[in-house]
Amino acid sequence: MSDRLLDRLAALPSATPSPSRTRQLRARCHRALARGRPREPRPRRGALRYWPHVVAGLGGLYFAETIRQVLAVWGLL
Amino acid sequence: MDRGTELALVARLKAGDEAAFDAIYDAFNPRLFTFLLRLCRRRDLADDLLEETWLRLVKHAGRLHTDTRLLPWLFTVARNLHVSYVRSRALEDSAGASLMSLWPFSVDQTSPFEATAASELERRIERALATLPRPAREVLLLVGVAGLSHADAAAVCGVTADAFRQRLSRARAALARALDSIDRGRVPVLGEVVP
Repeated sequence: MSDRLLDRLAALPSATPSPSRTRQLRARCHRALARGRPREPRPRRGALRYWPHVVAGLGGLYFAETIRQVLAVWGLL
Repeated sequence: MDRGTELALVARLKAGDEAAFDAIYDAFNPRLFTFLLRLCRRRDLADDLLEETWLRLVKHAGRLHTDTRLLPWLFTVARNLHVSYVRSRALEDSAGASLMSLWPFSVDQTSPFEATAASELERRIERALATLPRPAREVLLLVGVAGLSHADAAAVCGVTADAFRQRLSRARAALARALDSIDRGRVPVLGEVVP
């Protein structure tokens, strides 16, 4: 079977949906995209900006103290 | 659309970029709608399925793979939506109407394109295409009208490349027979098929 048949199919005209329906669909899709967009984290304000650093610092101090006590128990300090 | 552009658009779409969606929509919507319209043979249904296809894309935008190929993705969704519709109609219809689905030709054999065909040849092709069973029509539309490669069209239909080649070969033969029947005036008239 020749490809002339497929060539004839390829030559068939295309169709376009109605402009009003296209506009509505675009708007609907844009709204859906906006809803699904990942939100940027809100920046902390005032002293709260430093809270993660404070917690990290306290955690580091706690860890260092724990290591010091373990070494002291083993007689290494 | 070249592959580099497609990858960039997919990345932007994943991030929710509306301009990327518009570019994808403009690039693929005509082919998608034309495929659905010839597959469904009803403009209202094609409109609904088209809308649902695009809504599925935006709904899943964030979960797309970075190397997603949009054309097969969109056509797979569109085709599957139509299959689901046909199956749901077969379940909803009465027993008598369900028996009609076994008829080799669908009840509605008209094509929305027949009335506006530019030439007699085009009209005959549109009419022949519309008389084919859905599985045959869809493979011809995917390859012949939408221009998908055989590999992509096989993926859209969910079959192996070999199975798709056989299906396409049978579909082309069926189309040739349908054209021949039209030429000889043997195509069943709508009135002969009573729902």
